[in-house]
Amino acid sequence: MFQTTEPSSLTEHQLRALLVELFDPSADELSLDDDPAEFLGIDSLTRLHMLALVEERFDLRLRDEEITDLTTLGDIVRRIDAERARQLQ
Amino acid sequence: MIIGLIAMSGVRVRTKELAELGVTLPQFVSRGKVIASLPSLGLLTVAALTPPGVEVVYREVADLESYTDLEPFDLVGISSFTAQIDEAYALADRYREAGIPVVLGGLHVSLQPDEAAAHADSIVVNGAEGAWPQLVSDFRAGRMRPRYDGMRARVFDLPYYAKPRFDLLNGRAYNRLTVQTSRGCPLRCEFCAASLRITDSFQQKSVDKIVTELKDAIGVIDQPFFEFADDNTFINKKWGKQLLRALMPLDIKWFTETDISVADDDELLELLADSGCKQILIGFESPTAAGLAGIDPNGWKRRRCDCYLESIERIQSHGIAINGCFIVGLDNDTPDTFEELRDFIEASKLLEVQITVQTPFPGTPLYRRLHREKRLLQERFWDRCTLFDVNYTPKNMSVDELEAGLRWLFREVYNQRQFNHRKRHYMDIVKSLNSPYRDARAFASKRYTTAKPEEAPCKPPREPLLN
Repeated sequence: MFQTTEPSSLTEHQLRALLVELFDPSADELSLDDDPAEFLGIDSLTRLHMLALVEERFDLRLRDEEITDLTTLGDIVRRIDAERARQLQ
Repeated sequence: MIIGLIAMSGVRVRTKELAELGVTLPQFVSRGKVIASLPSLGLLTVAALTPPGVEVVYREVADLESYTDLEPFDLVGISSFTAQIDEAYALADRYREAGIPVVLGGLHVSLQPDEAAAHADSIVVNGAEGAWPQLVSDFRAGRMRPRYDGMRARVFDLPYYAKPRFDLLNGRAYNRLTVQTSRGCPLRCEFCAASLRITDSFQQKSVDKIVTELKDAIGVIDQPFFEFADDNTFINKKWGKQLLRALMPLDIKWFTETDISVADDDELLELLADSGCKQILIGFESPTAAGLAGIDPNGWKRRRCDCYLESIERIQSHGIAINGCFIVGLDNDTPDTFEELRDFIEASKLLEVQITVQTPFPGTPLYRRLHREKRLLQERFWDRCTLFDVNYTPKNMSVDELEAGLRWLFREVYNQRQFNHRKRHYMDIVKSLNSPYRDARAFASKRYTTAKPEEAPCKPPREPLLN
């Protein structure tokens, strides 16, 4: 929803691996359209911990509104990709 | 013989504008959903107190209109909070018209026994401990009395104590379960309509019993989030630490209600975090000493309010989110209070906030005082005891000003922008904790190591709550 580009498969793989490490092997079955919190049954507080960890691992800082708006795996992957592209510039 | 135990569930708001506003506000909606989805621990305890050989069925009724077919029980027990009590009476009347005897119990019934008795074959006053087993025995013998008085003390001691029947929840979808670790609260706030009204003194359950109950519940619901159904869990810090150490091996996530004094004790905060406590609810009530005047008989909260901001930061710095509760319409509140409260909440960076209007629940000292001062808008207004509807004339503003101020505050505090801002702050706290990402799996289930905060310069009065 933030970028129209296709999500990178490397970022997708890394993010999925992180969620598997954190929560459950079933996270490997997440599709880009899935909401990880809903799919994995995690509560709203743990979702904030998850996003904090995403920030730490992928070296980015979400804006206030992104904390709510990044809902699907694809949203998060695209946000990481955008940050990586920005850092390369 | 089959006993149907029916809980009137759900959250109610009567004022139309507020109800409409409520569904548009993200944080208001999320907490409301949580409250509405909790099972009735009281009835699960009643089920456990039922003598062997009697079958018990547990039901929840959120919408009376949709509960059209009365199930053919031999005896019905109904429990309800004040806001839903008229619906409980209507259901009781329907069962009695169908020839099925009804027992009413719970907090409201305990505080308004004569009113409830008009809709029941029998009522249970106070806790069910010490009352329900005898009631069922008498019913089977055909001599049920119109009233049974349960225990107001020793409810967690044998022979009165019974482990709640979590097995009755098998196969149902609950994200959260409740367990009670204590009953009552020595603060005795004027407005409080919680379990302190049915107890003579603060009572604690043994740590062993709590752990056994939690293990039972874990066996029924996969990875539940626990809410401790207490008025104030950490009154006794020594017992609290024993409890927290016993919780650690259970690897659970949990929430409870307590008071700001937990911020005084670093060891307790570390144990809270390490035992899986994710959030605590604290009744701040008002950010000003004037607002807190007269809230509790000993003035304890008023003396603490200068340290509120530092205490909040201290607690949340351990990764424990606070749900801060505030009441508007207190006697020293004025039309300026709403803006003051909005500013305090912004400065506090509380992750979650619960704003309610002062509510004179029947049976409370607040109700008696406002009745005496002829400030109640109606004599009987139980369906408006929702915590969001105004039922009395405020001292320093009009009813309209209070209602308008509440709506303004809701828009200011519960909007998505503010909610996101509070979440951002909480994420920054999470990231600031020591080495938070070394053990990723611990992250998902509980937390990691705790940051040691510096000594707070604000020195709150160190007064024991428990004499």
